[in-house]
Amino acid sequence: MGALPVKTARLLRQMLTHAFLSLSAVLVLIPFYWMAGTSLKPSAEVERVPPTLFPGHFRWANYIDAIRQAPLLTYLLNTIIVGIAVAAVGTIITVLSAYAFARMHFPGRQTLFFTVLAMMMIPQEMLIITNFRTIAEFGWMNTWQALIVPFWVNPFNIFLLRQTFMQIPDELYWAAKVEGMGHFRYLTRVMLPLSRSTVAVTVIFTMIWIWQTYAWPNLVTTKDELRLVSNGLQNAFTNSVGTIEYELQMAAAMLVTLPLILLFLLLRKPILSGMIHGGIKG
Amino acid sequence: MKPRLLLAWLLVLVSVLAACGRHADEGGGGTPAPTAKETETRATEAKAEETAADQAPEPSPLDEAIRSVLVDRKEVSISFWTGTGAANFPVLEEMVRAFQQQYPNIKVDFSNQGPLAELTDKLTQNIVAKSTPTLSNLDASTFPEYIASGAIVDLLPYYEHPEIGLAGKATDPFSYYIDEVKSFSPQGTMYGFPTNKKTADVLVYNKTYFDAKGWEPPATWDDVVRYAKAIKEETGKPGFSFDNAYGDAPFALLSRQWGSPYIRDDGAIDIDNEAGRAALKFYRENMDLGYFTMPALLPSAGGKYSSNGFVKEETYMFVGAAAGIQFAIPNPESGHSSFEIGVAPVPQKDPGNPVYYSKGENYAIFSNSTEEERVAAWLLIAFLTDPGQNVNWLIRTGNLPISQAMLDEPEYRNFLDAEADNTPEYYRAAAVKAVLSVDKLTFNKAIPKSAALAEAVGQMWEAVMIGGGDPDKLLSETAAKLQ
Repeated sequence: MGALPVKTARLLRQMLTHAFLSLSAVLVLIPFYWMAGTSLKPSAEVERVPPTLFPGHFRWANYIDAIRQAPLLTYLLNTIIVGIAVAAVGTIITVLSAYAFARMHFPGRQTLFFTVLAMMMIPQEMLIITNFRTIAEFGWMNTWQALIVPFWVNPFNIFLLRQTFMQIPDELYWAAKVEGMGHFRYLTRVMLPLSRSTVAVTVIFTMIWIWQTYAWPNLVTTKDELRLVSNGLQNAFTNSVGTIEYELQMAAAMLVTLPLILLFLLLRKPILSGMIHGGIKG
Repeated sequence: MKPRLLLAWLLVLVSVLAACGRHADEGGGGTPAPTAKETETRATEAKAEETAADQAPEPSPLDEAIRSVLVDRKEVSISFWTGTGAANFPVLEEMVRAFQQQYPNIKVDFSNQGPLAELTDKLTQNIVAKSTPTLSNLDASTFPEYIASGAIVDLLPYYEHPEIGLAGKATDPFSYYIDEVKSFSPQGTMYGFPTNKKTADVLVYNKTYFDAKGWEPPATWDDVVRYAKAIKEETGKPGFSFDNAYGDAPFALLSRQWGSPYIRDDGAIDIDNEAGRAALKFYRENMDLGYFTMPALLPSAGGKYSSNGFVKEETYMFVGAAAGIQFAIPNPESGHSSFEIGVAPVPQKDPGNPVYYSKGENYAIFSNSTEEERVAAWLLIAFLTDPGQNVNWLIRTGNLPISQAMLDEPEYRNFLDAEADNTPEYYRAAAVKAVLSVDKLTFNKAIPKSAALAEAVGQMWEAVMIGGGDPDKLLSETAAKLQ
């Protein structure tokens, strides 16, 4: 028997690829569907065994109850404030560091860069004890600076932006040097405009990182007015014997997840473009 | 003429002044000058007064702090951490607000740190960071460690103080609660004080099924076995389950009832003995026969609570915390069976020598505070122990009243005496009454290894009952691990 005709083979390949991708998409979407469905069920239906796949009747009041029971808006505002503060200063540090690693020549540059990369391999949990003692020594417990300062340096963002900077042709650098441009003017006038999408990606990644970080804010904050959405929602819907009101917790989770989803949908082009640019040249 | 007139006036003036001076020397009223004897007497009296003043006790720092807070109304800020469910937190918040209205100079920063385990973790972390709250709830097992590290203060001077203390007063908690907190530390000290979050285990049973059989609630473990056997033969399901959310609860209760000391008076752990083995084998044998079960083995329950399986009639009796009774009420809308529940005291091995455990947290004041802050924290404890303030809290949560005064509050009495109406409130009252029907609650002495003991025994219990491990071997290994 001979091989399949080319057209058939291509069609089969496409079908298999689409089937695989569709299955993957369904698997990824199932938790979101379950979260959305549970957020609309009454509490009696949430406890039902076997569980129902679709709400028997919709209880939109779960969202109101979630906002009433937990200071959700406070948690959201705190997360936005911390995210903006971290992104603002962190981006400056990232840009300057990435430029130094990409364009400047100084003794130990490579060693320092690989040290920064190596920091990505260290799990955050291992650094927590040392960082906590440092924060305690400074007297920064329950302060904004404890939530913001430790996140200013992100090795992954530095790496990503450095890769993008290295793709900018050397000729542009020499031309700028001939014209008498110093490093800072070259960075701000040439490099940054060309790397806009990658810089936007680092800002977005930082915001997502702050949105989902849990262990550190849980450790350094004990006051409700300083909690972020992650650690604030963890106990907001738990009763005294440890049982969770899942319908309210899912409603709260929907409320805090939707802004991120909308952010990604609005900015997916620059995100993907920034990832591509960062990944081309190693 | 004028000079002569002036001279005359001067003479008169001098005469008058001379006369007045003489009168002053004589005591102004004609009193004769004191004799030598009188002078000596006066000197002796003055010396006696000076000695008496020297011997009068100086006001203590506590007395000065009390005067500062209560009399001088000095502004004091304290922080209070609790670990409670989100639904109950607003009730406590209201109580703290009422406290601040009564004491406007005391500001309370009140926060909920989540479940007790998380509260304990945060307290330990903040001891390291020297940023502990002024006042917090603590589990009994953490007291020895905190006392040893000097993290918390002795509350006995506050408890016994004539002005702000509660000892001997109407609001003084039941003696077994005070005995428990005094047992945490050497005699003559008291590092904790009972909170309003006390509970105890109760037996919850399917009253509809029991009434149909003409059964009374089981008073002994022999009754439990007899009923569970009958239930198994009729329905094919295990008749009894035992919550193990407090890991060592089943073994601790059973072995104590069987006669094991569990923790001796000298603080030594004594679990590997004849009584302990007998208790372990008792439960295991009944599990092997299918009469008893564990929450994790119930199809709908899982975890460490039996209530989810009980409401679906996957079992017909279980022992669990009185404060969690509302989760054992069947709700047909949730797919549960429809039946009435009953609540009774925990069964006994020997009704003549009953053992019922107290559960729940105690207050502690942290040493990272000034004396005024500690006084303010104690005043808050006293306020939160006030019977009138606790009625709403006790009715809503089903926690136990910790003093006779709380029990005698008219509104609380009405709650306890309410007629049966199948509401959560009625069953909370039933659970409280079941606990109150016993004479006294007991406790295990808290030792530095209390937390480790609870964890190790909990794991052993699950290994034997769920894992099918050898009871003798696992009990010996657990005891050895804890030495």
